[in-house]
Amino acid sequence: MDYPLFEFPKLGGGMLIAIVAIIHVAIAHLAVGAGLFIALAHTSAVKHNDILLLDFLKHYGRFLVLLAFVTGAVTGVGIWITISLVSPAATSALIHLFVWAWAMEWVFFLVEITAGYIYYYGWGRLTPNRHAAVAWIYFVAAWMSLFVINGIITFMLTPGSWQPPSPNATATSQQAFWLALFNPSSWPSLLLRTISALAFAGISVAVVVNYIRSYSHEERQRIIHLGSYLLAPLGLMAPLAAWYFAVLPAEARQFAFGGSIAMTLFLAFGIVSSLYVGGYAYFGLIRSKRTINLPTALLLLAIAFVATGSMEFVREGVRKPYLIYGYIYSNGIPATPAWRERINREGILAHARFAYPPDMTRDELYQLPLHRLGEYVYNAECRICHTPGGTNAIEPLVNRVSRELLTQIVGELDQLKNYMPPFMGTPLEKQALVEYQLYLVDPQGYRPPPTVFQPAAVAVRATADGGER
Amino acid sequence: MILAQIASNTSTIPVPANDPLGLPATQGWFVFLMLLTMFLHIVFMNFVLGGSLLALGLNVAGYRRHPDANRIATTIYQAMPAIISLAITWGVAPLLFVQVLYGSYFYSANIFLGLAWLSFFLVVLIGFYLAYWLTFRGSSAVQQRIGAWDQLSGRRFVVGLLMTACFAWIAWLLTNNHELSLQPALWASEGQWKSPRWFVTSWTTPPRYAHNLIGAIAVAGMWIAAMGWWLMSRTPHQRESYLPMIRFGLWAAAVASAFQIIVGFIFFFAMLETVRSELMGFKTVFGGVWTVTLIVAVALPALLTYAALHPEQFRWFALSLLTTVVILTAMLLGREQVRLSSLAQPAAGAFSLQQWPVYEQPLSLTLFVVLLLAGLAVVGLMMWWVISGETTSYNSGGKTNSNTDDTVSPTK
Repeated sequence: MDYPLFEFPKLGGGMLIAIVAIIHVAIAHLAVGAGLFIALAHTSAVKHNDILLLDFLKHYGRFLVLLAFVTGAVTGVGIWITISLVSPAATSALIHLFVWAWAMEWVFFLVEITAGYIYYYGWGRLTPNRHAAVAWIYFVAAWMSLFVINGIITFMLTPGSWQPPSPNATATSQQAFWLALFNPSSWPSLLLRTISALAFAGISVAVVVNYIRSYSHEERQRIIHLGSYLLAPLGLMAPLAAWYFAVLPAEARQFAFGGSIAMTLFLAFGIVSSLYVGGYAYFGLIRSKRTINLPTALLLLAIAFVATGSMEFVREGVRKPYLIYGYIYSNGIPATPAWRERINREGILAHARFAYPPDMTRDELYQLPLHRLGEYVYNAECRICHTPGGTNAIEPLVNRVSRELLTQIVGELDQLKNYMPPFMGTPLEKQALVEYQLYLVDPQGYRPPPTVFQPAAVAVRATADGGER
Repeated sequence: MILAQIASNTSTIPVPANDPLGLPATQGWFVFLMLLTMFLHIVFMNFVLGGSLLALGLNVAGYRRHPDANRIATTIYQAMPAIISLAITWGVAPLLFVQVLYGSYFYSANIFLGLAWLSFFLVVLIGFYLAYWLTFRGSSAVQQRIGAWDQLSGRRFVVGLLMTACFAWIAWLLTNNHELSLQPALWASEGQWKSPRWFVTSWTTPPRYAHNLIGAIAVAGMWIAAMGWWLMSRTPHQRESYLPMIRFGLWAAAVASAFQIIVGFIFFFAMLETVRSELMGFKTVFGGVWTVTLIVAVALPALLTYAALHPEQFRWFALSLLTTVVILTAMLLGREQVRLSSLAQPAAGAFSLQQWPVYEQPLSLTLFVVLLLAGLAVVGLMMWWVISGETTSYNSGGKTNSNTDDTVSPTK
């Protein structure tokens, strides 16, 4: 709320985060699952002197380094950059609550990256057993990294009984940390992500082996069959997903199962895609031991990507109207009754200091035409999700809505649409917001309202000027 | 005008409040961890940035058929991807701790840079893949098929230039981000409140950037000399062939550190007087260390020059390296003092680390420290396995090539 505003042109901040995050999640999952495949395969290959498998692992290690250690690692940093641009307050909350979790995750990341590079450069430099040991270190570090990150991500949707630490809190700060990290959806989510990681690895084995021209059909078939076992746990996805949805807040669950048609459709995409990948793996690869060519392998990978992307989209979507459930609204405003009362009394623009130009004084601000003032209220409360003229634009949503109805909608926003945060602000700010939306719909035809809450404007200005800024 | 308004009326500076969740340990822990990890990040990052710049020069020399230039450039490029990865990995930790301590300033600076800041990770990605391109084509397996980079200095120069431009852009972004985060007065610049910003109109931005670039060249020079000594120790019979590498690295470091004194002087006097007074002298601990180390820093070019004139003598290289490490540490402490002094100004919101509420998580902290030590031990063990290991004893049956080539190539 009190941070400056970043807006990604046309696409909007939310879509930007979604794009970067989904790419990162898919690659990061692949890196974890690949770790288990490499560790198991290397151990087995050393034990049985399996020259073909060892040769494949060399190729696969190169693929992993080029994809996971470059794009995977850099998009991980990219997520931090994008979320801190779009939602700095929520990012700050996650950073401050989970500092030590992030720090521990960084240690695992450090070990994972080092082990990965040593594995890759270790051919000819490490003894076979040590090479296998490095592979196992890589996998354990990668999975532990997932373990920690999963706890943080799931906290955003299911904080459970966590309460912010304060001098009056009943739980100690340490207890609050554990409650947050091991929140209600952390375990089912961890298992689901592990299964997803293994599936990505299994499919990627089929992709990489098809790039190696020197292998015969039989050699390729053997490697693909080995990798296909990583897809077998997909059968557990249904009960784990049921567990996951069972522990979600009731409202979030309702969004997924019909309350929000977009979320329901994405969930359906995710389920169908996962079923398709799982079914193909079981009947085609494991039972019939079929081989698959490069286009088919890439198609499977694309379907798995759709499945993961859809599920991530659902996870993000059902969290509305919050960024952190019950703590911060999706527009970055604190979700507590005390803040709501305060903002309604003092005005949102008394707090969202960057919603209007810093060189503008309060007097200048309140002398603006109402729809101009409304633009700044819009900046403070709506713009983070509703990019004017872009993604989720407000214009089509309020088109043909009368001034009276729009005023009522804005006033009871969270009750009419339970995925929307409530409007917070003074009556003047509310009317200004309505006027700005009417102006956006039809800039040429817009006419100011016949009456303005002028007494309220004066009262608000007086209160705001006496406020903290 | 706006700057003057902001400066004259502290109540109008819209610095966001500290996060109400506070810190889970006392401030000292985070300052220590940030400086420690930042030091390691800078060591690796300086190789990436300075090494890229030096390799460009070597490419030009290689194009003119200088006998050693191509070989040194190839060595730099071969090491580049792994060191970029280490620079990123060690950069994550200070990125975390700076958010913990100075989040409201850091996030605001990010947002004011806007799309420019967003380009950060995309440009890193491009630079990283260009580095791999330079590595793979320099490898023996690929050379046999399409020719090696060291026989294509002109083309390598172009790819190297693109890679260097990527890393120089990252340095530019980080410099501007740091400048913005230190000077909230800049946030109010007219017409730029919605971002993006590509250049920060501050007197300290150009000298800070130059200081970062030249410092990176100096540290990269020490890296190159160290790599020369390392390679020499691994293959003592080729001793003479690595001396030019050591000599080049030390000369690069000597020249850069001499320029660094001039740029540092300009940078120092571009700062606010109040900030300078807390940096130079003994008013603060960090400033005191920085001040004392200045004497060593002034002597460094002479020491490096002597070492470069005697590249075969390890002790001069070792002394130069030790001195560089000491100076780098002191410069980091000085940088932190500049930050603390800048943010303490009324025009910057009169920030102090002591303003943070602390809600301690002792068990989490202990667990992190134990994990960090264990993690470093595991990393050390794996590196020891690589260094001490003999060549592989895989039973090569035609599929696996047991050479020491880093590349993977089908042999069938």
